[in-house]
Amino acid sequence: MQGKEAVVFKGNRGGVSVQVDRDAPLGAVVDELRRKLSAAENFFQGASVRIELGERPPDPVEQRVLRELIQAHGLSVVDDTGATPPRAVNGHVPRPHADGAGGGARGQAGPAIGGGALAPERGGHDGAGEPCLLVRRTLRSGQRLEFDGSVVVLGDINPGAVVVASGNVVVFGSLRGVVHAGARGDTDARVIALRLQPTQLRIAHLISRSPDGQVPGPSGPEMALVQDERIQIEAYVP
Amino acid sequence: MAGRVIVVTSGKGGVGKTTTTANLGAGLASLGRRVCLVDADIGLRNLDVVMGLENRIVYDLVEVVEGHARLRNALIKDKRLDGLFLLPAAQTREKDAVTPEQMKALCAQLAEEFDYVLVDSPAGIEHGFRNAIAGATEAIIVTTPEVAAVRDADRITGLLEAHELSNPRLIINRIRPQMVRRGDMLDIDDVIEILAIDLLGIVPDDESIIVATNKGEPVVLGGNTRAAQAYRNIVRRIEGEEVPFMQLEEEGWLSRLRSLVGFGRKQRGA
Repeated sequence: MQGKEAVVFKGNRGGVSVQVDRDAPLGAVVDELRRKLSAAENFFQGASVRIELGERPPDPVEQRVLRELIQAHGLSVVDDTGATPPRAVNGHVPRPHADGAGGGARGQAGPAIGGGALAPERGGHDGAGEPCLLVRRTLRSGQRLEFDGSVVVLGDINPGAVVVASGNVVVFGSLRGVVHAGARGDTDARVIALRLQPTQLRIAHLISRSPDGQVPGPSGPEMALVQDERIQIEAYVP
Repeated sequence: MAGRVIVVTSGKGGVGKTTTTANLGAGLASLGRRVCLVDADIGLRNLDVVMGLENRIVYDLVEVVEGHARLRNALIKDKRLDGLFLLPAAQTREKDAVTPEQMKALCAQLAEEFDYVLVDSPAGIEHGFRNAIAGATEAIIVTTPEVAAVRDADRITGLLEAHELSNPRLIINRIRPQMVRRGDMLDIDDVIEILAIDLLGIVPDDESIIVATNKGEPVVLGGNTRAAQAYRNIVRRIEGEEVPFMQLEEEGWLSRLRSLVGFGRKQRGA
């Protein structure tokens, strides 16, 4: 989360793309790519990925190295031609709709997604114009998911699992693990779960933990958000 | 003076290493010692859960070793005892995220601040085990009165000797006196005869352990169950006191045990 990253995974309208920093040496790029692919374990399994070099000078050898590395982790690589990107990539959905502000650009990664920049995001709570990752399974202990954007989990987040997102986190299931929403400092980020019983919740720079005794929680969906520099939990009313 | 770094290990899984570590740590801290528990079971951490401290974890051992977090920020203060701290393992990483050299440096650093550093070892004899013992100056082997557990304890004893951790001490966990009496369980004599190492304590099988573990409360701190008493005795022996072994059953048993383990001889350490 700190410093400039050589490789950034982005979810966007077309699926997943890998953005490579312009100046990073190939060694650093390969190392980081390998680390991130391994960290996501089988998360990206079967997904199609576009390699985006941005302003990085194209180098056929380099491209082949990256391509083979990605393929070795069970992903397929789509040519960065700007043609219609693949849809319904495993676990990834296009964001529902792009609002005005240039979000309608076709083909290449939407302009709403800064080119690997780590600038703090603003006003993430309405989610518009922001990448969103759909996770169609339960995250179990020891699994860690990091995503630049919002995350929707159709399943549970078990104790010992960690989700870190720069946007919101919505869990259609029980949230019992650790979630860090607004991880780049967005205090408007929210965490919503059908059953909100996290071990620990973090929003932006704030941390709160579950109370120590056994507290029977309410049965309905709840939402955690930042109010008065504290993480508050309230019943979620759509 | 640097503190004692004691690794709690067993070879076999499920014999009670983590429960033992938690209880000995809590017991020592309740005597006023400064104690740091280190969970070396990276990827399968449990000590935080048994201690009821899982919801306080912000940084972990791997982040400290990698320099992403300061040791002082990663240490979790126990919610019950002042002198008790936990350095949690990482859950989303693997054993090879840490090297024995790094563990050695970490333990040395902790030993400067704490009277006791108790390292909870993972099961097995691979990388995680080598990490766990790397910084230790003493070892406690936990076993249960089962042939497989004793076999693994023997293997571990040999490995510890190879790493210059001779004279490990033994805790026999989950003894069920009735079963021993019926001859259905290995008795203490059998275990000692095979392993031939000093007995540090015997912990009877006790349902209160399961209850306490699930609640995240070390049993040693609550009430007067037999297991709690057994742990308190072990703690005092670690501190160098001579404490008679608990009488689990009838009279003759204790005297037999005494003669066998040479009770009353000079204690090491302190």
